[in-house]
Amino acid sequence: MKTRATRILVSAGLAVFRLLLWPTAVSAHPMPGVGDFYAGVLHPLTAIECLLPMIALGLLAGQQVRKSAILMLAAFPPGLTAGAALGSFAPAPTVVGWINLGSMAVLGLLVAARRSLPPIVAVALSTVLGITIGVANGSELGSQVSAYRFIPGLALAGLFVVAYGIGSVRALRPPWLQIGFRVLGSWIAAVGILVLALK
Amino acid sequence: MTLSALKRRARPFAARCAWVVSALALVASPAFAHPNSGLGVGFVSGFTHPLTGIDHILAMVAVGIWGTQLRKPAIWLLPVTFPLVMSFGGALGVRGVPLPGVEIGVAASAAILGLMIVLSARPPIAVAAVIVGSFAIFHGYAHGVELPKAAYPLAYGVGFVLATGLLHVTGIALGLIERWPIGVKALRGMGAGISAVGVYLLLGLIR
Repeated sequence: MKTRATRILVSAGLAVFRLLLWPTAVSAHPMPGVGDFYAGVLHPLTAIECLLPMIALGLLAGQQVRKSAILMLAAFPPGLTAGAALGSFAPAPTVVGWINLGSMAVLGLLVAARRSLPPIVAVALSTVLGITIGVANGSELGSQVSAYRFIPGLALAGLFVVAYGIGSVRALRPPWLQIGFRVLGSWIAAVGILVLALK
Repeated sequence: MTLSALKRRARPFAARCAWVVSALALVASPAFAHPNSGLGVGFVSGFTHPLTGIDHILAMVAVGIWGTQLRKPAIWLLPVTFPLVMSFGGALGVRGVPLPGVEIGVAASAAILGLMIVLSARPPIAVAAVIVGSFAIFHGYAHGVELPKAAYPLAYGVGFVLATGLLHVTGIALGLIERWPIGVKALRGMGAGISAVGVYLLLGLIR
């Protein structure tokens, strides 16, 4: 069972990695040749300031008890959707960029500390991050891109990243890998703190 | 083993190799796909910065090796706390807060951490964390001052944290030979080498 889960995780991870290597996937923002839905999927995955906090959120969710993990997973896509809908009406205020960097620091630290959070706090973190990342992505929509296709793509990408984090932490049991996740959290926090100092 | 059994085993391996090669074939174009955004340039400059100074490389590898000698919980405590303290030092560098003797601090860290490995020193975990943490500030500062000049600061930060972390991992991997008696001696030899280079650099800076 365990080995099967591990194998599935590894092959799914490789598939995502392979997708990221695909040339068109990385040619980023206006994304010619990619449909609006896929633009929504790829947009948060190709921006470091969106991807790293989402990974940290997924790892944090994986470290929580089952109930909190599911709640965090469920709260994130609606947050993204609401945020992106808000962001599509107006350009993102600069504070959103700060919050996304700050969330790298906060979520990374929590992962490094392997803190188990009260469910309310966990869900609040997930929702707030969803909204701020949603605003950051939605505000870059532009007039040629259909919000009705872009936003579901965005929500799906967020769901996958968080689900993947939860799956990794819960399925990959060896103690050194669990430590590896904490180290990853501390790396994400370090990047956030460094860049935050620049602002 | 019969030939057919050998063939059976070779097939999945060959498939996996083909997979990796085909994935690598896709790498080249995206890496250069963004000439304007500076993402790749920022990442590369961040990633290579810790790798261009022998003092940094040796000190980071020494942190990993010493962590394995200290055993649990230091083996995980050091690689988790180091990046965080280092980012604090980096933030000082980014803000341009003056910190005297950074290069001396970095060279001294290689000398002292090497010495700790030679002695296989096992101080209380808090003491070890303070020693490593105080050096982490110097290392972070040295990289942090370059960050505002980077083409893409966030990518620079990712590159520099990743390179530093992978040097720790290298040290921990080297430290795993400690399970064999000859490995214990080999590690001490490495510690002596690291310490000697640190002292040499230190003398060059002080003179």
